[in-house]
Amino acid sequence: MSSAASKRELLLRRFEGRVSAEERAQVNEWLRTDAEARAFLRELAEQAVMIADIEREALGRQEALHGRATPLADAGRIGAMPGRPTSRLVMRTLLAVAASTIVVLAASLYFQQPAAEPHIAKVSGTSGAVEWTGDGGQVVRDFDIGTELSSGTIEGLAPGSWFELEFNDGSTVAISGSSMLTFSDAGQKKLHLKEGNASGKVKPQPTGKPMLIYTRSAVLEAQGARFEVEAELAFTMLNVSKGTVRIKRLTDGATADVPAKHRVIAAADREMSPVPGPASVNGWRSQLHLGPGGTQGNWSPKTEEQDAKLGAVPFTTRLGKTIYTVSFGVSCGDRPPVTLLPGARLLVRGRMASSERVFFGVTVRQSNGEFAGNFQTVRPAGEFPGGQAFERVFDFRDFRLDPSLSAVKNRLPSDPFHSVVESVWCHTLDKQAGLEIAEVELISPIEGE
Amino acid sequence: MLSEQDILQTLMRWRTRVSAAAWVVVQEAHTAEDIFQNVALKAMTKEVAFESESAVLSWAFITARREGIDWLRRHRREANCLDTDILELLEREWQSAPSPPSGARIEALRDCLESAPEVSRHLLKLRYFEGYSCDEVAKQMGIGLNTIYKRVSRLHGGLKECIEGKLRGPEAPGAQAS
Repeated sequence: MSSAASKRELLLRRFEGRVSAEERAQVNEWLRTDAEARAFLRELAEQAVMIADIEREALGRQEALHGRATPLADAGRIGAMPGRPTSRLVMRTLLAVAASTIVVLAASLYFQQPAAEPHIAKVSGTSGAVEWTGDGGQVVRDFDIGTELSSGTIEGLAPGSWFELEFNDGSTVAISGSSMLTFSDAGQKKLHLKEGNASGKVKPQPTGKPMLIYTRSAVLEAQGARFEVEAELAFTMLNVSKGTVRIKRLTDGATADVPAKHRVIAAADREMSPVPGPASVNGWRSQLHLGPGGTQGNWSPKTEEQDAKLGAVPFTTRLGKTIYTVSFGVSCGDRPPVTLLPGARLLVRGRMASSERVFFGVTVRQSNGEFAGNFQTVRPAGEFPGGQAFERVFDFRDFRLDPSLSAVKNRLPSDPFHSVVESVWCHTLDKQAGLEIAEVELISPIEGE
Repeated sequence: MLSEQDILQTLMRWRTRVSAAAWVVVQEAHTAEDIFQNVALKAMTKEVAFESESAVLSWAFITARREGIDWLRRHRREANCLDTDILELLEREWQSAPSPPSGARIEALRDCLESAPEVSRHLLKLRYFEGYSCDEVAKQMGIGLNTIYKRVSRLHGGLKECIEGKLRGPEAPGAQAS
């Protein structure tokens, strides 16, 4: 075997970790000193991505020809490896095909400079990491109040995100937390809530053209009403605070008219009849041992050594800062709304890998579903020694409105009291300090709650 | 300052090389593609501003490398990553090598693959599209691992010659895949 050939084979082995420490050092040395070895590696890498491109393109052609996904059959023909996550590979492949298509389409649309879409709404409030994607593929993350928007998709990227848009007729729709909403208005307002929460204040609409809100499991018709809607994979929850909203369950077409101060849950396994909204409570405790439902973060189950916990995950804000955050949904699903009373406190039990400043906060809404602000307290690093568990209790009187909401502070309450808690969250800023939360409790000032 | 259109055109022209730089880190073609998408999206969402094409490229290669290393960390595969100085050396050579790969190069590769034996195409598809390791490919194809390493090495060499031959012209020597 030639020296060059053996080098190349060793290089291939090195990539798969099939070399001794000595061989590894040898390969590193070659790559540092031998231009030919580097040229081979560059060629190999380019060929690898081009081969994948060609196969993806062929896969796309097959799907277009047959109108179905074919790689499962391909995997079966070539003999899938035992234990190989074929479906994951297929999904990744399809996603990659889709992603390639999106960039190419975005690029081609961009170069075509399409006629500007008409503005149908403007930004009336925003906070935290949010993103608007227009129909032409344009993405905007930095908004001013009053910025005009054409149809597109708004997405909240982090637990404390909030975005409100006002249509040209004065109707408003807002999303909060990690939610995604597509909106359009070509004579009739049509919204698609892909996931998360939205609230709406809908002015009277043209006859026969109510605002339509689609979720995975239901479609809502709103006409001169106030409501909030939560879209989860298996159900849609609708709360109406003013007017009447019609809801239709997609699985069987069952409909219900939901009057003010009533709610309904559209799910395949539930009777779809409106019931009065449950009375609010003033205390709440997380239940991570039951699973990660309603949370955002890296959930770990309870073990013999430790309680169930939620680890912080990164989100990049619109200002380019990265927060490492965990979040707990509080007044969501069919749980009763949790209202904070003066004197309420927040208990947090967790652990930090390294000492760091921590932000603790709540996102609250008014009883009619309207956004009421993010309130937070920032605690110094000294309160959270690295490598140690902590248990802290904070008084909500020490919580202040998130400074990023200063542009809309006049329309928000000055404290979180008497508002409904949508979520509790905590994060570190710019540094992954290994924040883990085992328990969160909203402690009512009323004994026994 | 370059316009978004200039930035996007540059990135699309250098797509194969930036993706290849990511591949050297993560060694998975689909992940390398994801990384390129992220780089393009970051550039298009105005997170950065550039004064020249070379500034776009430097930023793109560095961003792709960092995203690749982050991905390795998340998947606990840092052990196989090449040292940073080697990655930087490769990126510099990629940026300084003449004319970036274009559609002609991928078309040449497509032709070369079509003229290659079925078993060779199958091997390359398993390794680079399906994402199997050489060891897994060896088991699937019922061939010894050493033979797979030899074949892969030879195939890349043969394809390189074939691509270069096709780019020089149809009559040029080496314009057939091995």
